[in-house]
Amino acid sequence: MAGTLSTAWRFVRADSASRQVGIIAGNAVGTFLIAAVAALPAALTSDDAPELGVRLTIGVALIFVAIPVFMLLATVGRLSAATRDARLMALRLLGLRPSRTLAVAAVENGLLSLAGALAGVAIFALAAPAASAAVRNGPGWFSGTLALSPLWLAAIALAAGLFSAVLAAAPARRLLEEPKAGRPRRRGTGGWWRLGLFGFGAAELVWLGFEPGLSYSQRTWAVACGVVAVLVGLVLSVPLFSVRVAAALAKSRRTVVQLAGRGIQAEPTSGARLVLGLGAVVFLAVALTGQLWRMENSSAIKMGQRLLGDGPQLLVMYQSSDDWWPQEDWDELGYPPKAFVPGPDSEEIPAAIPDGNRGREGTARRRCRRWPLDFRRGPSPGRSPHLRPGQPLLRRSGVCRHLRRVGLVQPVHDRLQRSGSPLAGDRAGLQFVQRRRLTPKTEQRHP
Amino acid sequence: MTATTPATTTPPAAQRAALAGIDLWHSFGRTEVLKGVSVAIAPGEIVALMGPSGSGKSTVLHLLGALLRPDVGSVWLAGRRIDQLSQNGRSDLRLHRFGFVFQFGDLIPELTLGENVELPLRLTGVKASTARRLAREFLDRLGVADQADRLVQEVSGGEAQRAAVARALVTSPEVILADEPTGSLDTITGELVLEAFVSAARDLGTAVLLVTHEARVAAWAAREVLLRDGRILGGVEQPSTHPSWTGQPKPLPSPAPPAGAPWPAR
Ligand SMILES: Nc1ncnc2c1ncn2[C@@H]1O[C@H](COP(=O)(O)OP(=O)(O)OP(=O)(O)O)[C@@H](O)[C@H]1O
Ligand SMILES: [Mg+2]
Repeated sequence: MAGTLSTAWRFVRADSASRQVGIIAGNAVGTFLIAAVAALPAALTSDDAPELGVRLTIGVALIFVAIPVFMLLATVGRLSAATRDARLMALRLLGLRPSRTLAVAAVENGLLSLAGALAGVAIFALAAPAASAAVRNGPGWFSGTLALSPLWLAAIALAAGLFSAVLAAAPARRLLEEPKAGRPRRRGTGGWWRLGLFGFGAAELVWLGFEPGLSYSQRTWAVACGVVAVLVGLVLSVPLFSVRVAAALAKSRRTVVQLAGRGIQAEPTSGARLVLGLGAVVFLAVALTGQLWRMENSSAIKMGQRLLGDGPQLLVMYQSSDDWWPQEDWDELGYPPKAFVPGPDSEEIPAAIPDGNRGREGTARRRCRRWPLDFRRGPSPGRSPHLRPGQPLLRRSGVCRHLRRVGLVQPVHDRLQRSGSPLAGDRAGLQFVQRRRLTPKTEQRHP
Repeated sequence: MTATTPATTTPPAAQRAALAGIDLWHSFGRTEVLKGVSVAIAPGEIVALMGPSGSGKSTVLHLLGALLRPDVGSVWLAGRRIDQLSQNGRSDLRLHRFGFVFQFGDLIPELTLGENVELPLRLTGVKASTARRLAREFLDRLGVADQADRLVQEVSGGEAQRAAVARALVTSPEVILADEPTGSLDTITGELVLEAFVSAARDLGTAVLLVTHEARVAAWAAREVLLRDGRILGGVEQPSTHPSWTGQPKPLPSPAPPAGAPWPAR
């Protein structure tokens, strides 16, 4: 075992600087992203059991981050893989057992990956407090702090390091076969089947563009699946492209071009994977930004932005005076009017709770207590514990504004859509929610 | 090892041999490279394997060295059949009992010559200091001790080749399989290599199979085996009477082969 370890350590030192830096930096970036995403839910909401919609949003965000991280780790692990495989092949020729050869490969990669992973969590631990302060003061997305316990950080570093090492050692399976003297040759990897998954994902995304009859969450999942298929398909197709391009180049009559082709043929995946990994990260960042932009610009969100401001505010729901608003819609919404408590998990409380229904009110209050809400009673002369129509619910600021928008508006919209209301397409018609910013003056009126 | 089952009975040709391949057939895809080759090497014997390019010499070496499995035939090391061993079993044999000099070097370019020579010792668990000392000793014997701390890329082809020979010798293996070990060496340095093989054969009883094109090199061997079109010319090879090594190179073969028939029939 000592021989295996010392050999692996010697190989680490023998690696080219670009391979070392590449693996360490790639793992650092990947681990940093994982840590950030792991810390995100707690920072976004002070609630430990967020609503399904919120969980879905976080889940999609996780997928969006996990895939490029996965590809980044896979990519950096395979940097200069041909050189490394030649080295491992030499060990096999000398008579090192397959398992020990894999161990050398894993330890060699693991040491570098672990160094990178530790750097990643260290950077996260150092940068997170400042970053969350900046975000709280700036866009105000966070209600908590972006932070992870040391135990979590250690676990993430270890898991990422191990994952990367295993990922990098996996392609060395080839070395388990009969070793061949001379340089290891790569197999032909140019089958057109490699395009299959990419084609499926692309077709699905195109189909989505023409398919209007999907709910928000169905659409979210469909987009996520399509993107995953396209990306994994892209990874699969890289060897195909590089092999074909290399073959075309190698046929050239010009020596320089021909040499370039032969060079790619000798190592068809390594460089291409790096480019692909970076490309995928950029692609995902753009896609995610686009998705967010689309959400921000949807009328529901826009209305939410109009409705909700910072600071304590009054949200009262009135019955619309418009005659064309069909009664069924009011029924669907639970007429008589309710007060909507904004929060990550929008809560509606029947504004008029009949006497003797204290149990329901108690539940509503309990659930409200989970959020930084101030559940006040109206100015009833008899200090009645019951809410009356039009009575205010006050909330304090501090809930993540972004999620609040989704949380408040989306369920209303979804419900309208489910009921087939014409209002679903015209969310500007939701005049029944009125917002009044509370100034000290108005607050005095509602002590 | 029971003598009852025919498959495990040591054939007579393999009984006295350090290493023997019996009736080896091998093909790569549809190309049949070896068509019934038998070779046996006694302990302490040096055998030269000669033949035109592409005749299958390296393939014989890889079959005997447990790097390839024959399609038909058997390989015996010290009276035990090795071609049917598991991947691990054959790996262990290569590490502990064989020394290889590959035609294309196969030194690890990112390591120094010294580290390359130490490597098989380190992998078998020899202490670092001992491995270092032994590696220096062998490099010195082959005249490349000065280059021990240089990377493989920084030395000449001949220096790298001599380091590869040192790597094969350093574990004092039972059998050395050397594929063109003097291919890029001049006469003088080539003789350093051959002398190292001779002393291993004489002092340790190492069996040496030497693939070569050069009659000058083959002259150092006790016996020559000629391979042509995948067959041994002159029938089944038996190990010569042991010990065969006289310590003196044989006289150069004469007369020179006539044009058109480069390999004399035996
Ligand atoms: N891995 C392989 N796949 C396919 N064919 C092979 C492979 N290795 C060798 N061959 C073929 O087998 C034949 C014998 O090869 P081998 O390397 O044994 O020849 P050789 O006698 O060592 O030649 P040389 O003196 O040039 O080294 C050649 O025709 C070669 O093209
Ligand atoms: Mg050869």
